[in-house]
Amino acid sequence: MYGRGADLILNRRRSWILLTPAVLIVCFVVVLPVLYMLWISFKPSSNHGAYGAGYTVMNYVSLVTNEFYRTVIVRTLVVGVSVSLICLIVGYPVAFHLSRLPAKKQRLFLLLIVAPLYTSIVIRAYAWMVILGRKGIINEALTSFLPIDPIPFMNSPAGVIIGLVYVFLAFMILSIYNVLVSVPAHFEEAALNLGASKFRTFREVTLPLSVPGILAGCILVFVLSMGAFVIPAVLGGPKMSLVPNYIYSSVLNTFNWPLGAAFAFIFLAITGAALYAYSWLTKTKMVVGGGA
Amino acid sequence: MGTNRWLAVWTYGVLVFLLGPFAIILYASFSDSPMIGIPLQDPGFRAYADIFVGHRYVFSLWLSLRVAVVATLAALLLGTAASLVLVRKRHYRLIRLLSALMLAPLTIPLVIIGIALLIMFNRMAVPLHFWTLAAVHVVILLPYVIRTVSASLEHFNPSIEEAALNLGAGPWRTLFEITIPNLRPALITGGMLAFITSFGETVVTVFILPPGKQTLPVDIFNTLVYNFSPSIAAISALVSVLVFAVVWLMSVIFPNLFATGNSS
Repeated sequence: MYGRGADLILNRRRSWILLTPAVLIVCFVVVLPVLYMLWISFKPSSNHGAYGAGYTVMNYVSLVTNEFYRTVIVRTLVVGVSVSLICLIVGYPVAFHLSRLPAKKQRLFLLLIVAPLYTSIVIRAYAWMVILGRKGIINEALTSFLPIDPIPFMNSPAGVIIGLVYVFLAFMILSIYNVLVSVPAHFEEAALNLGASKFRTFREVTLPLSVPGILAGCILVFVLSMGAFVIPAVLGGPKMSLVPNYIYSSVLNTFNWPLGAAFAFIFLAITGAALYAYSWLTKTKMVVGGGA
Repeated sequence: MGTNRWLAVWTYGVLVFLLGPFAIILYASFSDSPMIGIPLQDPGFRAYADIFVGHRYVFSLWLSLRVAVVATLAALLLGTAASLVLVRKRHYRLIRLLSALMLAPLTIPLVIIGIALLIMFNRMAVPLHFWTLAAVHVVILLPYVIRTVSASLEHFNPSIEEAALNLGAGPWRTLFEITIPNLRPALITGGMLAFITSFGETVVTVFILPPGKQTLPVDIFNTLVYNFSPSIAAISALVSVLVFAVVWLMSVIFPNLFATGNSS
């Protein structure tokens, strides 16, 4: 395309030096600590000091066999699946509608959908506390009109799921929208011209073509909601703690580092598998991270 | 196929669901009691007085701002340098591998990174200092900077660099007078994206705070969970307005930032 010595980087042998500071800092802050945690997860726990001598797989065994931990893992998986399904049902019509709007309106709507993602997760968690709390807006309104007791949204699965759907819905909408905008309009016109009803066109043309977006969105939301930490802590309380909250408390409160590390790795394996499926299904990558 | 009215209604409903909570924060910030009903039982400005007169969040806000500024500048520097190599040399397999490594903080759950850092810093007696916190933030922000700058570099024709080099400009002069100015919109957007990300980061930060200090989001989190105060509504309202303003500004500079959702 262009000749030798064409640009600043390509033909300069030492230009890789520009990459080293970034690579080094990522290694020190992500790669090294995660590998160190993997090593610790094979150490026996100990009452004095961070871990005992020798190596063991007991941390992993106890996580899988212990009834209590299994409940937490299953609860986290169930929450992850429910949140993705609800996001799909709520988000699909929005993504579909958006992809049919004029370009200028699409941009405005996308901005409105994405903007909340940039506010701190603690602020969004607080907003839902005000809405769902025992003395929150919904309960105040309900109890002033109806002779009922306040509904306990908080510290219940409903609170956590509503909060997570709120936080991750935008990811679902974007994933499906990205696929739907690239479906050429004349595919649908052809079906309609050939006499298919609007519903049949949707069912047999649009919906099948949007399956990659649906799968990508579901996996993404599943992974993100399993990694959520702030929302379950604020809206769920101790009864609705998910895996990240247990990892947090076993490291910070009970100081059982090997167990917490093993828990983190089982968790990383589940999310890693889901993300691998995601990258296999789509080349889409998000600009927006999901620290929730 | 046109789109029908029910879809439009549903979409507006979802927008209300997504944006409504911010209206509620604003509403709640004018209540003097933690009980938020309709209408407000006890309207007033106590929450704002707590902040502007009582300086309720002043220390955590100051720490957050310092971390965000330092980490954003460092991430812009490291991220831009890295992007130049990652984009121009992407036909090497090693470079593509490193590219994936740079984006790791987006794919590994942040809680895991936080816990792993806590364990390693503790075992290796790394002091939890302002600079430790800033360095960790740099890594969280790098993917955002690399994404925006790389996207811009993909559309950048290297032959203008060739022209400058052929006309006798040195490589540094070419970099600062040709390449960097061409990347300016990406650097501004990437910088703003990085800044608000660092400013709101909670999940990793909570594990690696310097002793006795907290950033604004962690301050809000602790106030929420342990000792509730109505001032939360006011600080949340102020920060949300600021963040929405920044996001709007980004969309003005880069109109297609969200339009494709991926390659921006």
